[in-house]
Amino acid sequence: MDEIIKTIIDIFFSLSLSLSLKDARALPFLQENFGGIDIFQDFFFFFSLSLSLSLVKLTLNPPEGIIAGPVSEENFFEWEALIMGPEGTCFEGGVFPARLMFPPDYPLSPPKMKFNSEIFHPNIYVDGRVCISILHAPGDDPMGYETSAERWSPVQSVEKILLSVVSMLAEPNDESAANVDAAKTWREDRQRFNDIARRTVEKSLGL
Amino acid sequence: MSNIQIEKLFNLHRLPEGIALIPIILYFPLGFVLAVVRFFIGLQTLLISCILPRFSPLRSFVLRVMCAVLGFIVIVDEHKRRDEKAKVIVTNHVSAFDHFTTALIYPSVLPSICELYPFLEWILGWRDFGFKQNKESFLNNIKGFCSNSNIPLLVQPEGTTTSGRYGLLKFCTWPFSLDFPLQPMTLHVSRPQIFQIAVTTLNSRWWEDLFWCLFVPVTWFTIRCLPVMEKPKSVSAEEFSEDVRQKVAADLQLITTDFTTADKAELQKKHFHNRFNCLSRPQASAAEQEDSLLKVDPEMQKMISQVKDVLPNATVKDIAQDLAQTKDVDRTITNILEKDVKNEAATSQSADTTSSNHTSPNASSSCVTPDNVYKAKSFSKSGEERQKSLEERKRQMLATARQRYISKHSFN
Repeated sequence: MDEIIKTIIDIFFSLSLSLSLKDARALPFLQENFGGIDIFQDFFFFFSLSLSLSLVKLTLNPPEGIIAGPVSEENFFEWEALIMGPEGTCFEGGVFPARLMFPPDYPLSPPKMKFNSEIFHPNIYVDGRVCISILHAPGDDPMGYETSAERWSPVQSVEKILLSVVSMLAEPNDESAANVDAAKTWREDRQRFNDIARRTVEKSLGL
Repeated sequence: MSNIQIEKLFNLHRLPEGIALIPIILYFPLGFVLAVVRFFIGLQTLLISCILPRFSPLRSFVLRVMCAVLGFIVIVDEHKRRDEKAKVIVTNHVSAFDHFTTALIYPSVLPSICELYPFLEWILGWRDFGFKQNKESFLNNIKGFCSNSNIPLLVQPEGTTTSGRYGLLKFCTWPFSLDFPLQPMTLHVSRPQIFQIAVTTLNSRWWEDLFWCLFVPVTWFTIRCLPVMEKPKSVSAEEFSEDVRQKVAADLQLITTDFTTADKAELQKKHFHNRFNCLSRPQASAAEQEDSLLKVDPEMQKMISQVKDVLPNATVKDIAQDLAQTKDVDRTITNILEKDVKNEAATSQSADTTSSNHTSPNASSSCVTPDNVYKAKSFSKSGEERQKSLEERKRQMLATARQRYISKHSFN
């Protein structure tokens, strides 16, 4: 019963929130085609709101070293984020800008994330795309190392994605490498990896 | 058409007022016992409906008799108009039991529109056509079902119940784009004259409706078949749906309105709030009210925690006070945010006047705590301001990080 009440409150809350934030891309579509069916609308809104909710939470109560928000007012489905390199790691002190691209059917499909600056890291492709399990839908598994439990699901939030990226920076996973060169360096020549990381950090700070 | 009041479409109160209430009061003890007995018979009925094979004439017959015992009497009108080739049945929506009663006469499948346990869906005769995935696959599934199966599909394009006495809501259009011949049917619910108890009300739940159905001696569900209609190629789905709606309305002698389910939801919300206000007003002082709300009402607590989740800086007292007035989570959030903005404007103004040479550039939009958390003080309603605050915080983070790095590594 508690669950139900909570869900209902969530639905109402997010409904009005997503409307006020122009996040309801689905609204005209719904009214046109399923105008009569309220449960469906609630269901859809419950998810469509999660982007707006994420924004409010990230704006007012962001986790350490993370800033995120839409690139512009008009496009709610493209966000930019600044991520600080976690302390006590080779990326300490760096500030890395990244883009988050949300697909139209978010949160059913995961967003894509791409670092704007070059980062030499086993789990980041050379062009900046981030390769972590939370950004992969349960269906596709390019590396075959991930359990479906750590995959994308509609209940994951933007905050969780960003936190996973921070922990990825702290602890590279060289088993499913996106940048083979970086993974090799990380495994075999840690000193060189740290040097490159330090240069990346300095570059990200414009030094 | 615009001057129709939406309230007229629904029953706002279940029970009548004045003299009409007297027979109900007199009947109440008997009716209550009847309802309890019928409830257990109803369980038996449910069991039988599970055991007997679906869509068989025997099951329909047995269930119809059992339902007559339960007070659901289904009357069919113009049965000869029923055409087995019409795979889609379209009806108006007057009670939570529409599918159940229609299925007694015309076994049919209702496309399920919400997540249910498969077992429950099976009992109810609902079927999941992938409504949640996307419109195309949903329609494809339905088309596939209609062309392969002998069992018709029941659709209630109004989407939600009305009193069935004044007007019809707008139909949704997907059932009319299926290109199958479709049979409109009209449903009419009535009860004996002395029991003027509404079948559904604006805010009623299905179990309340069920109780009152078991309570009154009989409820007549009249189903009338209308001639089969087929969509002409030249007509769009919307026009066709309007056409069908006119036919249904004419048969029931109702008017067609422009209201949709969304309007009903809005009205429900409004009435719910009104009732809530009426209940909480008699309480004496605001403090007492807040206190009692906090302690007594778990829903209030939920709402408070909901607000708190979004606005961790606001105090519980503020939230509770605001919620006591608004009864609405998002309105409260807006209120608190607006208050914050005002306060901030005031403080930054006074800071400007007292020490104008000492203002830091980031005073108005953000604050930094020592542990690298860059948060905005408020969530502005205008997107422009949010954007400004975001830029400001980004600039700040970069500046701080650079400074820290330089001092740590003693760059020149």
